[in-house]
Amino acid sequence: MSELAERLPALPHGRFRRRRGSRGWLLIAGLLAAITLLPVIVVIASFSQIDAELWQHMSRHVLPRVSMNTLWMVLGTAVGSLVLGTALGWLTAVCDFPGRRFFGWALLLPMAMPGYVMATAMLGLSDFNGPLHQLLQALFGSDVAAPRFRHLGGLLLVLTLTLYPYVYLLSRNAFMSQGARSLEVGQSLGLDRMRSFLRISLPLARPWLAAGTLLVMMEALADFGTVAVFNYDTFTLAIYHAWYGMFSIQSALQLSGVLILAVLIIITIEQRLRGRSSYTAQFAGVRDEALLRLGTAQRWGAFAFAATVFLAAFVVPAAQLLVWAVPNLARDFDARYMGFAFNSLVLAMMGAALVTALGLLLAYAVRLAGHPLARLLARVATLGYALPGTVLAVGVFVPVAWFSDSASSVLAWLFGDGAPRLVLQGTLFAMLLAYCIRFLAVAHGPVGSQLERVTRSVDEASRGLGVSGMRLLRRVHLPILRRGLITAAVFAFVDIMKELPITLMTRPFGWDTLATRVYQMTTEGEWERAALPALAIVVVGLVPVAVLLHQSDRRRA
Amino acid sequence: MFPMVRARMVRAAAMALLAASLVAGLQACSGGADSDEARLVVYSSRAEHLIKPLFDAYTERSGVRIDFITGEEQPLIQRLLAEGESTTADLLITVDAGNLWNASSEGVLRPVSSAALESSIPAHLRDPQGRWFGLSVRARTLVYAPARTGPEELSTYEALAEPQWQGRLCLRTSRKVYNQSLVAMLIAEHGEARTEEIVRGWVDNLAVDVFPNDTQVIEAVAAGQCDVGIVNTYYFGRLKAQRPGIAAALFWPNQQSTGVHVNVSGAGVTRHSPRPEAAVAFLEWLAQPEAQAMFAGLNYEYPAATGVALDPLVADWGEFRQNLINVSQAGELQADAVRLMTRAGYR
Amino acid sequence: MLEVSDVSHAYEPGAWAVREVSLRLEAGRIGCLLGPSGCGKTTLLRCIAGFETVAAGGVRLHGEVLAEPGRHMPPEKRRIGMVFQDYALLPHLSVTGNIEFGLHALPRAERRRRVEEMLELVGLAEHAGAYPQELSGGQQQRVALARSLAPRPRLLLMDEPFAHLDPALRERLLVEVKQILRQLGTTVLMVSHDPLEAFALADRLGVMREGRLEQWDDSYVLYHQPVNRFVAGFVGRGAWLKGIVRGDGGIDTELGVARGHSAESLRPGAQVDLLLRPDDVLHDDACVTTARVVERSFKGSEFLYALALDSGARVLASVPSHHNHAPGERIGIRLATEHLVAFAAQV
Repeated sequence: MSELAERLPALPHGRFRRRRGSRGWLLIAGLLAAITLLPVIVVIASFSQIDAELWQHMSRHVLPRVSMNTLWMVLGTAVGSLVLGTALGWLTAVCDFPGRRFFGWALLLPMAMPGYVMATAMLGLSDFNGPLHQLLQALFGSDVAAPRFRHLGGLLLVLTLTLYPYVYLLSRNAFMSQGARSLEVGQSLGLDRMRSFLRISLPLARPWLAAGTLLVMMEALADFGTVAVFNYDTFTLAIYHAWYGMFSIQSALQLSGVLILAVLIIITIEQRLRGRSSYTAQFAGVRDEALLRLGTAQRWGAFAFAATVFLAAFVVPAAQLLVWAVPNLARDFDARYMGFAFNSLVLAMMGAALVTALGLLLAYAVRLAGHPLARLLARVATLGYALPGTVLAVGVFVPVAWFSDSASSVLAWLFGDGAPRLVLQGTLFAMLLAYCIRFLAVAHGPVGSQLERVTRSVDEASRGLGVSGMRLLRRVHLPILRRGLITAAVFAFVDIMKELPITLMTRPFGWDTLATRVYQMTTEGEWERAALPALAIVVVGLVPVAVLLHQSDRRRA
Repeated sequence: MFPMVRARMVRAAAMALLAASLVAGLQACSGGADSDEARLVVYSSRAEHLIKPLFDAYTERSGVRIDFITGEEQPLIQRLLAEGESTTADLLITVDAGNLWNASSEGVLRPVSSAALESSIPAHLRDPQGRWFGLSVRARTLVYAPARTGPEELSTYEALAEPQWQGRLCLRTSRKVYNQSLVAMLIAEHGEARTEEIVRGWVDNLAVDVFPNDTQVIEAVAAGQCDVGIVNTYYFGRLKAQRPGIAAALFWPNQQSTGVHVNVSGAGVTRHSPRPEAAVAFLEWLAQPEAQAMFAGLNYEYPAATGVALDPLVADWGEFRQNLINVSQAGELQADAVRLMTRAGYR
Repeated sequence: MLEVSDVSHAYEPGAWAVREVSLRLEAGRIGCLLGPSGCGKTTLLRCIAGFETVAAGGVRLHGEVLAEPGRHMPPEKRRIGMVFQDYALLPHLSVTGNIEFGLHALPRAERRRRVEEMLELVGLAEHAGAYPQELSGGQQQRVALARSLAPRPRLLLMDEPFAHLDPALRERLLVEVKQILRQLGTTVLMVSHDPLEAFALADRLGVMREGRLEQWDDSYVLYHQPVNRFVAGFVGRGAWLKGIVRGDGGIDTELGVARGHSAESLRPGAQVDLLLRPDDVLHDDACVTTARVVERSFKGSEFLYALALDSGARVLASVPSHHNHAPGERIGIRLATEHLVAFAAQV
């Protein structure tokens, strides 16, 4: 035996045999990162002026509280989403239970519900004098009060219910490609199902779970709407406190810098903890029959669990929205809604296509550059997602305006006074650029973790068969990446449908969307009238998501 | 199936690029040369449905087309700053004096001297240097539950800090600029120390945690969660229009002293406006009675100009004495007010 | 001892993947199930492992019931090891981590000792810290073997364990794996579609077709006394030659009288097809019966000739490689049957 071992040359250690990195790809990663870094640069530049008095006030009266609050909120939401998303992802991917196919895509729907909308709906339901309260009083007398949601627990519930789909969709992808096999390995080695799940399925899904949880954490960090409805003071609120309250955008940007740093630290820690391990299980393809068979009680338990989440996260808030929307239908619903819906759809589709393409490009740049610097740059390029939307909108707008101004000056210098002026701000171009910067993270996460599936040996085997270049990409990589790409597109699409600050600030005249419609109503506190456009977002956003997911389920990679 | 998805993606991406370059190109062509067109560009933080009817009315009368975008005040101000000389915006409309003050101190508004504006808009509702003008008045007053309290017990904003209101007061969060303006005005009248005492008194008297909006404050009063709250009148107007029987009423405080705290929704001409004369003409139109009635009436607000007919529902609340300190004080002292409220534990 | 009695399994009602299969495998023996893909052999293995429930029949190991209809011992309780076709190594764990994985119940020291022992056994001691993706295919296969053997299973199941290896490596590993299994005295049931692999490893062989176990016997018996044409054809190369059974038990053929042990008594006068394996046909220059060489393939120490007889029938002959004849040549042959495998002729 030992003689044999000597004769078989072992591959050099390291996840991949290191190839000579290509400078071109490093350059692309660098360029992409540079574009997406614009707002980060604006943030860093803000540190040139520090308002000492304001910082003193903040550090004494605001930061201690909001830091702890933010920590609890982000941790709570991350854990909640991780648990809920993983459990549901695993159930719908691997287990056989009634309604599995329906829940497969339906459990994604809560994502289309903007967090502040769900928060308002939930509070509307449960608040003093709300329907829940009245129901309980009617049933049990006036001493009984509805449970109060206006505290950290309620906030975590709402955030978890709106954000878990990020983890859910990614974990589902991971578990689908594992199938029941990972459990069988454990069982053949004497571990029961639960322990096999914990020790094999879960660790193998780690890149996907980490990517999803990171998205949840960044989204929670950047959230303003939901925490504002709950009146829960987080870091974002401190940022607006400085900017809107005390008119100091510099301090607001500086505070945002702290958020960026926090995310960078989280990412670094996660990467470090992974070490040399790989998560590319070489399990043979999983067939439909390979679903895990559950006992009757377990089947219905799984159904009840999925149904409860779906009910709480989608049906109940949607019903509340419907109740609000109907009385205003006659007044507010008119032909313009077709325009709003059209604008929303077009922007979300264009944005999602661009963001996904960029995410793919970035993932490849990192892979082909084969340089740790590229990995770092890619990480930095996705940080825009953790910035509060309004800060990011300014962070994109300022450099774009500066650029088109400079370009116009150059044109004027070249061609004299009659030269055309370049005005990029307030164009679709600037808008889409800002979307890309904000949402690159949601595309990079799924595509990047799926790209880990394409090992060097896959490349080499394909090259051996004479497939290379674009053909390699099209015939080998894209089919493997397919589910990652679809996931990225779904995330980007839904996020852009809901996106507000960038749309508000950069949209061209007349490009009102469903989301800006929601804003028009909520800004004057007319929640009931905001229900109609909010519901329209859900409906319009729902259709493409369902179609994409259906596509993704048809062929299991 | 996959090639189809891919083809669609590619097509969508191509479409996106095409559309983007098209729009960018159009803008680039039209950017420089449209200043003589009969057109105005407005950046507004007043919600579209409260402002668009006025634009339409003006276009109908004057033939001037009005392009506008809506958004939050601060991003709009930052946008004006970033655009600098190349901005296409002629007017900035906001819904409170603090942001108007901030816009003028950031230098994005230009001074306007117009006899028509100065005669119709009272002095305390416009910038002394003419950089902005209030167009509607938003009174921040008391709402109470007639079943549990009344005019005999109510008197002033300051009195709500007294122990007799322990557990009976409802407030909206201090993050809203309306409360920041109110406290800024209190600072202007009483100084920081006394104001902080008042705010601490309010916080001590809270019946429940602060609410995210005025409507919920009124609902809480009507539902019996508390007896009195501080709200803008038009929120009450909207609720009253929907539910005439609502168990809440308005009270005008400080009638014996400083008067009711008012804020303005107002507008100013941008520093680099390509069409300043047209912009001023539009402002003047907005200040004359017909437009004033419409401006205020769209949202149960009060007109800024005097002698303009009120919406019947609003007229029903009776006359009141306004606080005559210039509303720009609200902007000047806003940062101090925010700090003070944070110190006092008013969230 | 593994006893499988009348086991049936269906993935969907009515679609039987395994039908009424019975077999016994004595302790310490190596058994192998052969069959084309889709014949149900892997499903049977999964039923024994406990990943599938049995619809009928029973599985017992050392007298203990593992599975019966309505009774299903969970796989993790069965103490049955499994080597998966794709190895299913855990990429997030090192070689040591993989081997240690099934030893969770043992104390730490014992665990370490067992891992070292297994590493030594499969010759991977120096790769203990490597990750699976850093190993060659053969090394991965041995890690999979070590992992499944480490907990000392009562029975080891192997699903096409050599399918992913190149032929040269497979041949070497077969020998080594057999040594390891013999050394440990493990009872093994494996699944393969390759008869050579099966003969190299197994003492007991079975051939499955469409869910049924056609025959289950010692390797020697199965090869020389297959119960039907399918089994005969599947386990080795050969050709069918027509003949008539003589009164003395021999069979008259074109190549003369074939004599030997016969599994079944053949009815004199019956028309039969006689199976001639390549080693049943001897090349003998002195022989008057000749056949034309149709095809020649070089196997190192021998040639395998495909020969055409005068009647047009074809036979195979295995001939020492110093007898080199070109296609087209006629060579002398004679029969050297030891066992007679004949079935009623197909018309």
